[in-house]
Amino acid sequence: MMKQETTQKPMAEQDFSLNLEDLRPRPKEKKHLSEYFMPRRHSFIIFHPDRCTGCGACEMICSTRNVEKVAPVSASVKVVRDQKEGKNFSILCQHCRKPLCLPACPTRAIEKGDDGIVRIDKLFCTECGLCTMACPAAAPIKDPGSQEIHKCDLCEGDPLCVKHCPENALTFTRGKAVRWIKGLRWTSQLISFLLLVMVFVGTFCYFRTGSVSFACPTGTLQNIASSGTIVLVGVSSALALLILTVLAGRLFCGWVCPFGFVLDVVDKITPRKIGWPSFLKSRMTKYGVLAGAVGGSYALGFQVFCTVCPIGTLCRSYGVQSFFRSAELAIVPVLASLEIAQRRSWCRYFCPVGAVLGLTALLRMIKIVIGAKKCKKFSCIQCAEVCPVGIIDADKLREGLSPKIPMTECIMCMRCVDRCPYSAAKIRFRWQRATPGEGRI
Amino acid sequence: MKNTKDKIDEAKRASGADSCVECGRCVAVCPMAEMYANFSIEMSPRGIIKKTLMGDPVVEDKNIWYCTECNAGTDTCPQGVSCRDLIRKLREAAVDENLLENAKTCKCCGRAFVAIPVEDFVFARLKDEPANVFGVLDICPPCRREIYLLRNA
Amino acid sequence: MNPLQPFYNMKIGIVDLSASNAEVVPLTEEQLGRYLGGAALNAAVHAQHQADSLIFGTGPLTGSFAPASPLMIATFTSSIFKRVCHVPLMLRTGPDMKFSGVDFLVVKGTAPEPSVVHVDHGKIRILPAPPILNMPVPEAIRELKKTSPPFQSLIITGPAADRGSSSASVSIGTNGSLDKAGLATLMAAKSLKGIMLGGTDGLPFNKDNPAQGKELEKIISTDKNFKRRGFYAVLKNLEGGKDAVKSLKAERKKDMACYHCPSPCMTHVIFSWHDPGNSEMKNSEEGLLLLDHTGYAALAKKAGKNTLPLLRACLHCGLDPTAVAEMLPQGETLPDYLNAIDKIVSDNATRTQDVSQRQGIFGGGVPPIGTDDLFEKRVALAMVLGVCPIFLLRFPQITDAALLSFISTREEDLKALQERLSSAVASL
Repeated sequence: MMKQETTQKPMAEQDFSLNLEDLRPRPKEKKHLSEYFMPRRHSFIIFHPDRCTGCGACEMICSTRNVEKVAPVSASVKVVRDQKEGKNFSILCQHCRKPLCLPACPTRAIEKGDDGIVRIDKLFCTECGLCTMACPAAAPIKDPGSQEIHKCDLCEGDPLCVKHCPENALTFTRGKAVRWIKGLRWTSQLISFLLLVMVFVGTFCYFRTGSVSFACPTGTLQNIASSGTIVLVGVSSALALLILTVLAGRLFCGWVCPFGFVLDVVDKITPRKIGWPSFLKSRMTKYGVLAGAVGGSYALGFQVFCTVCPIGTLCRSYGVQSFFRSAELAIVPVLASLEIAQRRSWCRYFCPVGAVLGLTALLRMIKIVIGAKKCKKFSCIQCAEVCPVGIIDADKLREGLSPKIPMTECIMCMRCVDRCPYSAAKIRFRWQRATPGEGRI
Repeated sequence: MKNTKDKIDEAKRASGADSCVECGRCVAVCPMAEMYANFSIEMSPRGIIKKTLMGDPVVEDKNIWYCTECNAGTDTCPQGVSCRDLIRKLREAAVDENLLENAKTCKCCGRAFVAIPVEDFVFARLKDEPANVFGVLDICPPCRREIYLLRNA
Repeated sequence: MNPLQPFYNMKIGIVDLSASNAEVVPLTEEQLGRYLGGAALNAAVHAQHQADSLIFGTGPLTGSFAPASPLMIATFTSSIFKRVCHVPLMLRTGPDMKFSGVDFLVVKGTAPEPSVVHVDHGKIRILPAPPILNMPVPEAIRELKKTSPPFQSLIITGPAADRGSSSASVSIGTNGSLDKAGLATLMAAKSLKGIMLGGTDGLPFNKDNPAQGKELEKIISTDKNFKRRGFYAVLKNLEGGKDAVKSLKAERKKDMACYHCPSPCMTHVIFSWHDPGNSEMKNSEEGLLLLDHTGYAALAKKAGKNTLPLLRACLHCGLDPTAVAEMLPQGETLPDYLNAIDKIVSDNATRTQDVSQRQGIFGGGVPPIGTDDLFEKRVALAMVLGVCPIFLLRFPQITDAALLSFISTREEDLKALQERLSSAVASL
């Protein structure tokens, strides 16, 4: 706000005195190279509301650290009790990934350290309480006696409240050590890329040995439209992928698709996104592309889309080919460059293969749910950030509701499941009602 | 019931405003200079103390609503004047007078909990953050904790 | 140095309601030296003042790291038991009293108009009560929260006490209490509507207390009673408790603890019921914190399946469930029961009970666990030290020496404390 208003003034009126921005510049965020391979594991306290009896032991022990006497109101943790519903909750700082208290502090006394702990620097704190005002859970607590602001700093890595809780309702954790789904997915993608592109050249589009056959469903549709005849072997072989989709969602897109692998690799190289024009932001476009491909095939008599299909060209162009075949490959870098605008923008908006699988996913048997009770809301929202197709509603998560995840769009990469430190994102059968964290209270 | 003049007198006594020597230290450390572009002497603690001592109608003044009730001025005062207590008492008197146009009342419990210029400042600082979509700034911290409890437990 | 020093604010608040004036006087070491605190000192202070005075007091361990230390003791002459009674008040009242800067509160005289007492930062204020007379307890609390300075704990009387019923009982927040000796009736006679405790300060206690508390927890965690927690577990052991447990099924249960209690004896239940007085309303869900074991057992004996709605009505009116159970007819429908409760609220007939009832001296609310001899000893110990009596009854392996070691670990101190404790316990 300051900056804007000073720039509005004419030059003559501008004052050239130093302000806080110059005196205490905020450290630039730096990402160490190793973090791309090993995620930094920040520690945090998880609270289990179903175990808490509301005895207030955490408040007692915390206050001995803050004020050196037992005074529950001076603690950095507050046990809120609801008499009507019979619920207790320990409100303590979640050490948000993007803390809201940090910009709100007028003296810039709050800082987030490299270890992920948000600290208040007592030297600069003027005890104005604006951090409490900015925090959605009002976690920084104003001591009614001394007017000081107390906020959890995890006891610098050894929290007393966790040690002292008689019911183990507070647990201290450092998140998942190994994100094994991530490793599994990359391996699967790499192997399927090598197999489909280099070993079984051209097999994704159509593959048949003896009685076993396997075909791309979109290609089969175009085939039917262009030739006007239904070949039973072709249809039944296309069913293989559709059955996989019914059983496990669009697993193909996230785990197998060779072009998807190319896109993921390009995404790793281009972490900054320039954004996608909003008038093109319609996930319905891909169904239009599908209809166009099928209609075009019917009109022109050959499989229109298959000639430019990035998956197909990748699959059939390996090795010494004719000039035309190699020239086809040019579509791959062109479409992969869309990744600069948004992650997996081809898959989100255009891919007709994904469109067929998405339509099939209407009959899916599993779903991904994010339990709002376990989710830590505004403090984290990593799932929405890592989702490559951007279908997790971050605003809903901030409000504390379970977002509905459209499984027709989900590519089942399971990044959300892998990332969530609180295990709130889970894979469930379609008919299961209870979301994670609900039930026993 | 006490009238407003008595309340101002009590505020003067409680904060020790009478012993102010107008050294201006509180103005030097006041974070409001950083917060508001239109920071002026009327708005500063020194200005408000002066007005209170001169017997101006300080309760109706908008300038008492800019303070964040922080501890900086109180900490630095050589005379031990608590400008925070003074402003807090003056605001209480203003709320009793029903001069509520500069005080934000909580959506849930209806109590005045923050001054509107202060809230505007927080709002401006959080402008880029998406969190204000659900309007946390309309709810006072104790009510916010209770809502958080009901949503999470 | 007196080892009790860090455990007390060393202050007694004296409230004279008839003169509407309150003062804080220092607690002398001599008083502490003779009685240690808690119910024993309460009784001594009570003897100094008029017979109708009301003493609220805390024990030395109240609010400390000793397990289950939520106790505030109210001492007064009961009109029901016709003797001096000590009523234990739980949840967070005791610690909040200490953290408000006063260890003992003496209330004497009668207020000219209904008033409330607010204690915080060692200052006592007598405020006129807002128009909350004859209002159901939850509504009255909501009203009080709007108009009064902030508070952590609240002791309030309900409409039954306002109308002078002798079966009234005080309520801690909306939850009721173990008072069966007519504390509410006495408070209403003094025109004292409630006591609000701000609880915005603290006490240092001893540095090694947290570790000691943890050790005691470890000792009792091997006991079989430790796992059998919650309201139902204690209720089962009472007379007729098994039937009471059987006939009641709540939809959701959750064990709740008082201040720093590792093995809770209270349960919050949520039950759905249909209010017969409100025909438009459909089945509504209602939450209750069950803490009064004997009252619940007595009520369940009469009302069977209707106990939870009846208990809710009792808590709303500030009635004692045991007294209500005495007056209720057997085996009727819920609407009749609720009408009967309405009658009991406005009925101001005096009720007396036999003094020989064994928990009489402790307000009649402590559930009789264990043998008679042990019961009196353990409860008296709890009342002097400010530790929950139900907790001490459930875990007999916690000795008085273990509790005294919280105050001091030096041997000569311990010996002196032991002597004082035994004389204090004997004085009850």
